[in-house]
Amino acid sequence: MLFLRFNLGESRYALATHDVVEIVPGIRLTKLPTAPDYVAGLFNYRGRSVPVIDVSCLLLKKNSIRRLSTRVVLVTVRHAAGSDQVLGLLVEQATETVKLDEKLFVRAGIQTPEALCLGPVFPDAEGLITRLTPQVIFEHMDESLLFPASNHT
Amino acid sequence: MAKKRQSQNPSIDRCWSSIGVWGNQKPRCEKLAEVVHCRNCDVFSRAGRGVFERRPPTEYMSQWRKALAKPQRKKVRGRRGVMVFRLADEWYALPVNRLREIASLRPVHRIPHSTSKVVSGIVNIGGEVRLCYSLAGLLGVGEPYSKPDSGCPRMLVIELDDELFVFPVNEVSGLEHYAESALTPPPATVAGERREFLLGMFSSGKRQVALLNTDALKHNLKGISA
Repeated sequence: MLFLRFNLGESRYALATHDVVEIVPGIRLTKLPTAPDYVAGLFNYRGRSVPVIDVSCLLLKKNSIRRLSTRVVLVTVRHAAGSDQVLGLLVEQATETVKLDEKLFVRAGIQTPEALCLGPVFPDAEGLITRLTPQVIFEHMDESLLFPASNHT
Repeated sequence: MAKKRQSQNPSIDRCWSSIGVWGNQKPRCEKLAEVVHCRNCDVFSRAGRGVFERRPPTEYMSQWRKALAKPQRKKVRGRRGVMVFRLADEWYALPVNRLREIASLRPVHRIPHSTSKVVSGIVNIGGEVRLCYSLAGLLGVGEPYSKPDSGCPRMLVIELDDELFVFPVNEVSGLEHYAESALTPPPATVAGERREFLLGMFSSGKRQVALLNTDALKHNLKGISA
């Protein structure tokens, strides 16, 4: 299975490419003044307004550093009610894809409330690669931000 | 130059500059025994990725922002690839999956006592003797070489039902695509036997291209060779 490999801080993460719609450069976003810190902003994606989540800020409480390799990974997330939404994930060093055997992912061996989001890990020569799925990132954040109950648009 | 040096990531060890990418210098890098050239080495490719660790140029980012704001162009469905070529003054096309080779023009050896308009002789294609057909003769277009021609003549080798057919053309224009929905019936002036060879017409730029019916071609050419 093909994975997009990226970094959050010093650690390495992987996201299955079949979850990815498109990867675009980390363009300048329209800021949302009162939103939580991990909402990096909005941008116009082919006529739609797509919110971008700073994954590093959401999980590590540390803003992503703006470099060329810091890119926005567009993924589709599914709301509990069944509607889909395109969401941008701002991640660092999204420069390569790797083929990893899905079966070789092992359980992380620790489960803390803070680490709920983190999936199984893949051991390799340089350490561990943690698997992330867009759905768990989405569940980790405040759901009412993306799908306000009263105002479906 | 001084500025460029400064912007380079100091954490990258430019080992390939001192040992040479082929490892002709002594001492030789141990990794080169396995990877042969630095371009296959992970140290080199990791350093290459360092390009992306720069700050993003503002113009590049604003270009991307504009490009992403544009609505996506819809893909036209049912587009097929064809090879377009010219016989005398007329443009024809064959499905590109039937094409096996575009060969340079070569001598065609006449077959004694043959007066066929469609079989012009035998020809050497890749060391094998093949019958050379005249598609122009079959379609009644007129002899391809009857008058001086500005084009670059070629031999097309096509495969119909596991059999190769070779024929000369005046010019090969290249690979093009047409939408199946844009195909129009051949003009009324094309009548009789010739009409069965044409599936339809499509326009490519200023010219009209006739799409050939491979089934009809196969049927007619096979009858001759048998």
